[in-house]
Amino acid sequence: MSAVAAVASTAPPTSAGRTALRRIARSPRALVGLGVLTVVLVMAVFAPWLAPHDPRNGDLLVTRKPPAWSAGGVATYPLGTDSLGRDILSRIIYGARVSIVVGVVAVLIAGAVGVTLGLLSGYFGGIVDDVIMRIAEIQMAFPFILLALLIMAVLGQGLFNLILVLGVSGWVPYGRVVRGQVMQLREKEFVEAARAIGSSTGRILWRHVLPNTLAPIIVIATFMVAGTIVSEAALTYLGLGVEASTPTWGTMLAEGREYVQVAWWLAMFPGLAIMLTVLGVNIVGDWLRDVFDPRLRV
Amino acid sequence: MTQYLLRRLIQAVIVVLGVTALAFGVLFLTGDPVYLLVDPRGATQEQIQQLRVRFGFDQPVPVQYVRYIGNALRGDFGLSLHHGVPNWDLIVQRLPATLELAFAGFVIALAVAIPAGIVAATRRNTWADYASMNAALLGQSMPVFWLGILLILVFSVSLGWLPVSGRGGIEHLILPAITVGAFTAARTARMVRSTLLEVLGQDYVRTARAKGAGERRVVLRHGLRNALIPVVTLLGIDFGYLLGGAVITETIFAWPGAGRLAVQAITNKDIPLVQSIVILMALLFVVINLLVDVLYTLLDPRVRLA
Repeated sequence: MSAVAAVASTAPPTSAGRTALRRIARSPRALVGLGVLTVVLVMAVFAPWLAPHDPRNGDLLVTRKPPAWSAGGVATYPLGTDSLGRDILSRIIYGARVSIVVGVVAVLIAGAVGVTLGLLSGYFGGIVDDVIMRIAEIQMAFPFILLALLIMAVLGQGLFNLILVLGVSGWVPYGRVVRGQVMQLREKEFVEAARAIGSSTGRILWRHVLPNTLAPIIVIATFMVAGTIVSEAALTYLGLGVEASTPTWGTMLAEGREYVQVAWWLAMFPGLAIMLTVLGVNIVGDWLRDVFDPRLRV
Repeated sequence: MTQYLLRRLIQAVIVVLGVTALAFGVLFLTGDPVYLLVDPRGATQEQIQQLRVRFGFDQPVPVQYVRYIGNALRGDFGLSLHHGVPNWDLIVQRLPATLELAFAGFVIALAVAIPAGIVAATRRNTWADYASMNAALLGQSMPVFWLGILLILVFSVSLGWLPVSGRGGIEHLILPAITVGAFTAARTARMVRSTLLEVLGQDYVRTARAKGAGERRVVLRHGLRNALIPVVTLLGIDFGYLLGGAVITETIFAWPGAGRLAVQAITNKDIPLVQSIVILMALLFVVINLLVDVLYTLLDPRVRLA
């Protein structure tokens, strides 16, 4: 939620694209964040070519081998193997796919729902606004993971259900920020002008209002990708996310917890993967916010 | 002020009703909720129909909801399918452990975050600022479950200082409490820093300085007190996240609280128990936020007078 508070007053972008490009070269921090994200994306897209071993079927002759550099490690398994002899590195590379897909798709769904409701709420006001904002309040007044637990318990685990739960429950930040922006924008001359020449409400919202709310939407979306990746891993860790057969960072961590006293590498590397990804996304989010709203830069 | 609190109380009631409606409505996502309670392959049509009548699923949904609320108000949350005892008893038994964990996490979070935020704001752009803010960014990016496992690896497995799991003396509480409080600590530290920076730029702070107040007094009396107002609001919400985070932390450390009970209930397909836990946790969350609002009016006279 902190993202919301921080960008709530974000100004519309002026020449944000160009400013962003110019500034990225000057921000080593942003470069690091983008670098991490690029690595994760490349892992997700090219997993079959990058992974040295089959992520699902292990070699039972090499179970729970430590990383290659420690005593007893095997050179062909750089990060070691799990209790079924599966290569940790290959599973992490494949795991990036689930994290990225869930993170991006769920955030797109949440964004679409949130932006639509925010536009309606802000533009029409009155009863529409009241109803939408009360729903948002109810959803905010509720630790998300509990809701997700309950829904996943009823619907059953699986990638599709997981994306749906994370997507539908994540709309509130977008809705609130877009609403606030639209309330200011609808009084502006250019919106009035569009109305005066007879543009339809849909066209006004789509062509004139929406483009002016994009900056905060992008910033929120970035932070939400980080949050969603963690939520996915958490639910999967609890056995409520993606099916156990799919290699994901969350399942790897859950298995790692079981063997924490004998095989530290099982939990160490998938956790590191999650943390670095989330850190990368957060750094990029911080940077985007600074670019879009110079007033917030400290 | 009475009017303000009354308005907040009404809002809170609406929220609780909304949450129960959500938790209740979820049952109908799959169509017929009776199949959440029974495996259709192992029961005859008559048995299923009997169950449907016993749980009231044959009634119209609004009637079921009103009945559910009515029972809940009397503390009757139905029986657990798996344990065969009232859900309420099971939860109440586990709740103290969860509250103990959340509270300990909260105390640790504040004890770290407020000093760190003050140092970062007052020594802006020094190594102390960079160190604490980078640590905070790291803390915000660190998933709860991984932090927990790391702490176990270091302090239980390698050093052997603290127990791996379970509940008992203070030594059992330390690792789970750090785990559950870390995110709040990180976020609060960043928040304290930015609001304090904002407040320290205000005219009244300059006035205080001009009057010759010492730096310590300026920061703590004039700065921090005002900077904490927005922080307090977030803390109420954060306590909810602590309760939510407790679900994962309790699972990692085998901490016998309500969160772990929820996860076990899901494994056992004990949906009524999960539902009851969700509703009671939400209720707790709403009550805490209501208390935070009261605290808020005490801290900020502007709210009281508005």
